[in-house]
Amino acid sequence: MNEVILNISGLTRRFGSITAVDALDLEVRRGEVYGILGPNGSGKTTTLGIVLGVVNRDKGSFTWFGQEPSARIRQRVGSTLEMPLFYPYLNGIDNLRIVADIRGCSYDFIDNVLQRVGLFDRRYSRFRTYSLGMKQRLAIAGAMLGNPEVMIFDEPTNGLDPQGIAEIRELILSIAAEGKTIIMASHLLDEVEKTCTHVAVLKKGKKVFSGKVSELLRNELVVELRCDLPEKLSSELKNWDGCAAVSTENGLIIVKLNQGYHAGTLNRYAFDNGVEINHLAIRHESLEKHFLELLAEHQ
Amino acid sequence: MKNIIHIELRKLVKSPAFWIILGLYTLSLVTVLSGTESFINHVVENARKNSPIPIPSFSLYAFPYVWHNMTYVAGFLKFLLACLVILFITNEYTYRTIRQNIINGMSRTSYFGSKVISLALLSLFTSFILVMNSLILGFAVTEEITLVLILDKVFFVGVYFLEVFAFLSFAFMAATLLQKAGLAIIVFTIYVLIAEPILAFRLPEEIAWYLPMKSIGRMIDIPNTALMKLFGVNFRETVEWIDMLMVVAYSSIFLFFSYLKIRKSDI
Repeated sequence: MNEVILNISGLTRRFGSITAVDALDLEVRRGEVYGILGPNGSGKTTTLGIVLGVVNRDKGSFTWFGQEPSARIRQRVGSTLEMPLFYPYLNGIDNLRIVADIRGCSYDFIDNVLQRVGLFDRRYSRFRTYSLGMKQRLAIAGAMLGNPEVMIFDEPTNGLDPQGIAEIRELILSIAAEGKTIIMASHLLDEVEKTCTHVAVLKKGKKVFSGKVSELLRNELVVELRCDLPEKLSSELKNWDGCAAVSTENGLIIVKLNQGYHAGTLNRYAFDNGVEINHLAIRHESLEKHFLELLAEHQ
Repeated sequence: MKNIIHIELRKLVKSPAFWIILGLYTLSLVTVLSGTESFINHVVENARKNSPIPIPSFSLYAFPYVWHNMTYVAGFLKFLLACLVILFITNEYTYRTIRQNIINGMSRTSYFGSKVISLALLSLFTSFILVMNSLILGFAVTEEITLVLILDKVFFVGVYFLEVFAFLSFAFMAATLLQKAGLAIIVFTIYVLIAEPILAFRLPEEIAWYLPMKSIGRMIDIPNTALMKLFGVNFRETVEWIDMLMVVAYSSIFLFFSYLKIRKSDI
């Protein structure tokens, strides 16, 4: 098992009568891309705010790298929280210089991270002139400064257009590919599924699931597929252990898979039975449904 | 320490608003300091015409009296500096950059320290402008200049520094507790210009004596100009230790509450 990066135990925070974070336990290990998933108001940002030292806790504790929290430890964690926060009258470079000074890292990183997020050409423009997507990217650049071991992204694609969302996701995936530990809060299951290896699902401040993303999805996986011999495949599938139900919908075959089976095993089974699949995809609405059901179970 | 000054200066130095307000302040200060004498002379001229006894004439800018006169006059303008402080402290909350500063690994104590250093630097800056201005005026009007004469009452500058610093500490507290620029400036103004003067008027004198703005203003008493002599009033030409101690105590209290707020609250 890899080293524990962040350990949260029994964390609780109340705002008046509302318990924003309720006896939360969480463990993030080195190299994981850890998603914190939950609807708006489920306590994601409060949790991150607490571990980043800006929100107080009522109960519980947390450690970074096995150590008690401190300002010095936060310098090893690159973070964005809720929205990009910079001095609007300063340009990109000056804003990042302030971050570098606080982090105690060299200015030499600045050009590099600006290039990485695609803001190098706009580095002398004031922050207030940036579009939302550029602001988000500058926030990620700020988090990358000093090459921290751990990075936290809170709703990094919030409010962006589809192209902006794709760019940010690609950026996060490329950071993850370097083997960095990433903690990402999101209310979008799809986003977590596409980027994360591990996930904790929060509801009203309580953890209702934690584990690998594949485990979250495994319980009830629904795939859609298209092939040249749909009748043959449908009847073959009915005899297959992995199949819980088969139906057709607009020329697509919809297959509900049993636990332990996934799209890959289905593909192999079809091929072994002489059917080539032209189109195979996991049904996203069913994931959303599954997510909602998971939340509903803990009503 | 060097690092937090560096960070703080970067936040300020490239802000157009900072330079505009500081520039206007400096211009006002220099104008008011340099123009006071001609204003007073004008009043004295008028008074002289109606006066049965002759009014002695001497310059406000002569060493060593220039220090007392100029620090007293400059004290009226510190309000502008306080607005600048409120604006820049509340900006950290409006833009929520204080939050990002802490997230990036600045300790809350360092943040507080960086702001206290800013207050001190601003107080130093205005003291420096005052010293330069007074020196120029002093050299221009004093006939026989000796080093002893110049340095005689120069301690007024130190007292002026304390006066400004304490006043800015109060502005810092208002900004830190209220966090919104408009609200903080309004509350600050109402307290300083309306609420405390009314309180001071209504309360028994021995209690009013302890009010913070009254204490800050009391350190440097009204200088004795020729006009004052005419009316036969004689003001204090020294600074009382007890007054200075009171102001140091008040400044510490303002900074302490600001620190407590920064230390304890969600950011």
